[in-house]
Amino acid sequence: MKPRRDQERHESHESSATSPVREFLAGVPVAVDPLRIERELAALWKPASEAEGGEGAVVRACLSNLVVHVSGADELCHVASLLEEISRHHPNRTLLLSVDPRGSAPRVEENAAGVEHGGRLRASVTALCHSPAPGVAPVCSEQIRLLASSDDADLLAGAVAPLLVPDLPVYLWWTGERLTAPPGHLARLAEALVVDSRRCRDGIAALSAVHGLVEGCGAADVIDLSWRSLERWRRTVAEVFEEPALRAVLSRLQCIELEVEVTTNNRKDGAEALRTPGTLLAGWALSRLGWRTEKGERTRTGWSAECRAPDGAATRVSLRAREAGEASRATGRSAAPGAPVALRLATEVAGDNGSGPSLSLTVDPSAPDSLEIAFETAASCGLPRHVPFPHSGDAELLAGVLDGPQQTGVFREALAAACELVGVA
Amino acid sequence: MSRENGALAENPFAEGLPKRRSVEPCTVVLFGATGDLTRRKLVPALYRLARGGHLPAKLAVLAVARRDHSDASFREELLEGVLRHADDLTGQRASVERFLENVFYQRASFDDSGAYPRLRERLDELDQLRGTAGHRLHYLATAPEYFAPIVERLGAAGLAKASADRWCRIVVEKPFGRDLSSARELSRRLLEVLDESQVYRIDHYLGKETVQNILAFRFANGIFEPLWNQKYVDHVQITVSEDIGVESRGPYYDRAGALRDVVQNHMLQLLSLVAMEPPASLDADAVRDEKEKVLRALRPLEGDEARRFTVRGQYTAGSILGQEVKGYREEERVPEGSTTATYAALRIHVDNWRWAGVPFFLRHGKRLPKRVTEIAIHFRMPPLRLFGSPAPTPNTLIMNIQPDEGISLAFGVKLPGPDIHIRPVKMDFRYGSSFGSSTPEAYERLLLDALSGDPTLFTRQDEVESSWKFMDETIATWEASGEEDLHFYHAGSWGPEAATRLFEGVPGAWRRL
Repeated sequence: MKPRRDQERHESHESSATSPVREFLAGVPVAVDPLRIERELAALWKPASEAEGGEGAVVRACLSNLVVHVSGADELCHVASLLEEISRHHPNRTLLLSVDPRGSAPRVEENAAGVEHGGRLRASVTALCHSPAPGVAPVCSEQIRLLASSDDADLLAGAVAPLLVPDLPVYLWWTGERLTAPPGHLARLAEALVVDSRRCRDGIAALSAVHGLVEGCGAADVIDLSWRSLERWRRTVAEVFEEPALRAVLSRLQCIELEVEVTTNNRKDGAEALRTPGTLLAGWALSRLGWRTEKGERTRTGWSAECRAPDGAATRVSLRAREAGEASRATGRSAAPGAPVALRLATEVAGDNGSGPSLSLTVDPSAPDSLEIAFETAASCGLPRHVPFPHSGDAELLAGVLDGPQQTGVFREALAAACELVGVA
Repeated sequence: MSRENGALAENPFAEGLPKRRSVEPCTVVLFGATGDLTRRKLVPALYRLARGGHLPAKLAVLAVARRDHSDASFREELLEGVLRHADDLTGQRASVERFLENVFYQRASFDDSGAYPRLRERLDELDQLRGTAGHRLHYLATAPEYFAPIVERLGAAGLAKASADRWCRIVVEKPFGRDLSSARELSRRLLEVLDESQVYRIDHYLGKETVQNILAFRFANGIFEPLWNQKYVDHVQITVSEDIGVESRGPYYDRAGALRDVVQNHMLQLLSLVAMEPPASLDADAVRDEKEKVLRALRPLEGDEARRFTVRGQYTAGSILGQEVKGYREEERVPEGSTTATYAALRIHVDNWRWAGVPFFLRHGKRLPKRVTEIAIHFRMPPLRLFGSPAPTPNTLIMNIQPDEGISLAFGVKLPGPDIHIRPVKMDFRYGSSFGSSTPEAYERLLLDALSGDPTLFTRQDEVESSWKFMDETIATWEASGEEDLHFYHAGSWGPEAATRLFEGVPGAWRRL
């Protein structure tokens, strides 16, 4: 059965009284009694499980529990689309918690079978199905939506625990710009809390919020998608420095320069340079090299800091926002707000007229999935080479989080260094 | 960060990143590059590895073959060939084309000694141009009679030597000889030039995700291994069934036959993975040592036993899925009256403490009803039958190697109702549905292993010799039999009826697949 991909699937739908199962499998939310969710889900799955490989058969798969909290209809729409994509890579049970800011929810409703149910929460269930290959039964994840009015928002968290599939990991994804902590009892159930600090326009406030979550939200771990989006940078830099000859330069590095691209839609006051992808990338480099920030200040185009290397040498870091070039504008493929587009690691030898060796990594403006790497010394300028620099969309980043345990030690160190860089206490 | 002589000893940026095998800059030299294997399997695998970020930027592929090509014309031909055979790459033409800029061509005859110094010059040029640092992987995608001559000539030209700062590996495809004697001779010739550690004998079955999963399943879980022995296992069935005929391989297949083509290599490798003892570690040699012990413990089938415990068959005309197909003797370039077996069924024993008395039933055939490879572990029945008729069926653990990769367990449950009736049900794990994505191709894993210097999934010489030692007697008996004991079966059937007699004395039968 082919799932419908149009917009109406993501809105609350009045199910057809004659085919709730069909609608359920087609990705249309089917209203159910919040007190009987599991029972009603089992009833909706039953016809498909009995098909036993024939017409209408589906495979129900689940690798984890994903609890997602959204506010607002626009956010819900965006998240629902991502969840459908994620389920293709990582089948799961999703609990989608949303608050309806429009006011109080109706107290009594009828479900598709005409059964009245009451309560201060509204619930619906749907299957997200995709066909892995022609002729193969569709693979389906299940999604449970819980909606509360703003008055009853506190009830949402309490509805989660009974709906978690046992023996499978639990991930909380708290969406939105504000980076608030989930209720403690919910956080303690989770392997990880996932947030996305890229959504915050105020980079310094975002760092502070993430730092607060890491320090004490209750979840076993905190994963910031902003950090995860930097994996391609980290991997590329690490691979460059796998060469022993280049590694010899590391201890002589004195300067880290990072650029983000500003388009006409972005602010031009340098604040874009302080959004978390840039500050976290800088913080990562600082923490890996063992540099400590001594003094930082805003500049017209971003931020500049004086630092100290472990051997006592003075070093510096700068974060800069620059205008999108013609190539970016021509292709219309500018980087996401705050996403780094260039990183330069350089040595500067005091008293020398030329510069010391420097390594530059620059996203190709005409092909953002390609990175140019150039290594220059005073004696020569090596030919730059281009390497694949594949971009991971949000769905891919999230699926990667769900795929397994994370190593967050390096993230915590990078976060601490980033906070120190921009003066977050 | 530790420091040595002013330089950082470790790479501080690598910490916290998911571990990826590192492949050093290198050149892959593909001998027989205009053949089918290159465009169907090898180059698509290299491309997918590169796209996944597993290959270094400093990589070159040097294709070596007899035909006259320039770099550009070969790339063009290769591009069309790759896109024709790899469905998932058809939308990636531009990307594949960009990857093929790493591919170069050298015209050479394998038996021309003068070609190898020229090859050396070309490789040295590529080292300068591409920064490949002198590391070489020579892949011999050629007919087996060229393996030794190519390696000997590589050695003479100084192209087979490894040193502390330059590695050199050779990959050879099966068959590794035709029998024990030729396998030893091939090995002798290769090892006059190379060290065993440089030789990577590829059995592509070992690159399949589900075959690797045999080790993970057995040794990453605590509950199965205690049952994995003669106390609880009644018998094991291993099936490699093909629905295709010999296609264009008539002359090769007629000399090889079912035993050499599949049983001696793929099936005995599967058997060794199922039957091996837990290794002390996952080091290549620790795993291969245990596999080789199984092969040495196989009870030889000699003389009359080779007839009693094996069945050989040949397909005749029939139909598969509504399509009429020819019999083997009518296939292109198959000699008239050929007595080559296209079907083999064997009942063999592993004479060690773990498996004493447990028969392993192996069957393989061409033109069977469907393409399927599976391993089925049949457990013994409970010691006391508490539930009446119908008799419960034994528990069976099935490892589906292809096409529907996964594992299932069949067990009995009570039917709902007032009486106790037991019905078998199956608990399934499927790679495709559980992980929502397709499994990587075997050659991707194997090429990556060869490039990163991990020989775990490649066959060691002693494994080759032990499997030939076991197989030789049966092959000799079969070949001496002519048409006697050759059982014909219709294409599209599950093989000759005679194969059922192998189950004499064992409560069971060949699985209906």
